[in-house]
Amino acid sequence: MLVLDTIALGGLIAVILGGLTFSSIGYVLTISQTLILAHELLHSLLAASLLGALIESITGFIPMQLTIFLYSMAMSVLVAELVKLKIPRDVVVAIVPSVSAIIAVGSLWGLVRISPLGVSKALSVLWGSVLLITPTDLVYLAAVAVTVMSIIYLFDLELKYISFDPDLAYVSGLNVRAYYYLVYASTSLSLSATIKVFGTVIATALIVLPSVFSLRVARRVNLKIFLALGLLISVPGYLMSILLNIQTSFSIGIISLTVTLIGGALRWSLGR
Amino acid sequence: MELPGSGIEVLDVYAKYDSYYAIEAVTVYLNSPFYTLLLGPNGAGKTTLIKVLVGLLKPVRGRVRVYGFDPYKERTVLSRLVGYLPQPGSTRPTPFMRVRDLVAMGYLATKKPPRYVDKEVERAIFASLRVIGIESLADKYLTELSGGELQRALIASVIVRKPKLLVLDEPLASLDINAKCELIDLLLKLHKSLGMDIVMSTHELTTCTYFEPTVVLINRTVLSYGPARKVLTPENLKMAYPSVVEVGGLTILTEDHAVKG
Repeated sequence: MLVLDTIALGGLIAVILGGLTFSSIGYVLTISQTLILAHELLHSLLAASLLGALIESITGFIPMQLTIFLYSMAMSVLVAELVKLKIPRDVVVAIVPSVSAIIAVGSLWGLVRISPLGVSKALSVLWGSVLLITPTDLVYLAAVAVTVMSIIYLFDLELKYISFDPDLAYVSGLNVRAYYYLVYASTSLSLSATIKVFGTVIATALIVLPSVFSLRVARRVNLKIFLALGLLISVPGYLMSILLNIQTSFSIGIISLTVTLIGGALRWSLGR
Repeated sequence: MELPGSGIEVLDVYAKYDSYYAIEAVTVYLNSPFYTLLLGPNGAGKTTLIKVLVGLLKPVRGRVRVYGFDPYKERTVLSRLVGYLPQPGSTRPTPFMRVRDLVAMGYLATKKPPRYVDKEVERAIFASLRVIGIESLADKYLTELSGGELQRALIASVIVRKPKLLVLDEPLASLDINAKCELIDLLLKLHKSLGMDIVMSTHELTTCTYFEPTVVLINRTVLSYGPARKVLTPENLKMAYPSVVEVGGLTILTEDHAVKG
């Protein structure tokens, strides 16, 4: 029988909040048609996390989340500005992972060298550590979830309008660049809050796969579908990890992939 | 609102993409009220001129004023006066946005955030949809619309804030002949009954253009402009469309490519 002790309950709250945050940001990226940004960001996420762990180990007071937020934000802005300077998008997309790969390797080397716990810290960055979540992490996670959902509530129409045609939105009076930056900031914020729970590897699956599922199956897409999917993936994934005693991010990944495959099959069977 | 200018003033304007000049030495004056067609072959610089007029592209040389305002520097003021319809193929309809959302944003974009749909906005949305005749499409998603319906939804989203000027980039492209005629009828109605000035780029004169607009004949520079019957002479058309031929007294446009300089 499954016993939800304090640690497991903390983990459950963390995956619920994380699932809601990831599905919200997946919704933002999907309605603003910037899933490609998510792809680029996630390439840089490993570097951001390892660099964050290294800086946290060296300084002892700069939290990993801050580095992840700043690094992700910097990379998003870099991509946006390079594209605006008419540098071909595929060149830009190639630059970001290359730079990030160098930083990831350097940070990993530094982490292993300076800290006796370097290897385990690096591994926890990769696959998350939901059972080591602290009350502070939960508060941060809750604050980020509320922030991202508030952004959606406040700017849903604007993001859809800009995505429909940025030039039309600009001529109509919207500050298009500011809204793109808002998307980057909320994505970076979400990543910084959820990496500790889910790890960098599964973050890709949690942002992109529910979006793919929604776009494949639903004719009309809204936030409720995304939030439901977020919970449908994260909670059973967490419970499965406890029941089978396997890594949480691994079980969440399996559920996420299964849901996406079911979406594909549904679309095929519905003949769309 | 007292406007500092009476129409569109384009004086010796040059605009380019990278090192390629898309328009050169363009000069046009249009005094309100006007219903104007920007006519020229593909690649003639019509879209470039439109982008300059709505402030999307900064000219490298020359002076542009729309009702006395600089479109690039005074965008905020002009966003209330100018409604812009992009080329049909450039928009990305999504399964997230309904027609009523698009029209709502047309109304709300000029306002400060937070932007939300209250009763006043709802009334404006449906008044606009009624004018265009697509009230029944309000809850349809943009991906569920035909090309003609999407064009109408876009027009509804622009006229909802009652602009003084409507700028349309190739609105007739990809529409069938009936949809083209319906759209032209609609624009004429907006021009005559609501007093909107119209600038519309096109590379064709459809058979349903049965009224006389002002025509700006363009091929990287303005070749001629004025009332249609004065501008659309065989000589002018030959200049604009390099492969124009005359058969039995009829002037026929066989190709549709701009002169490359």
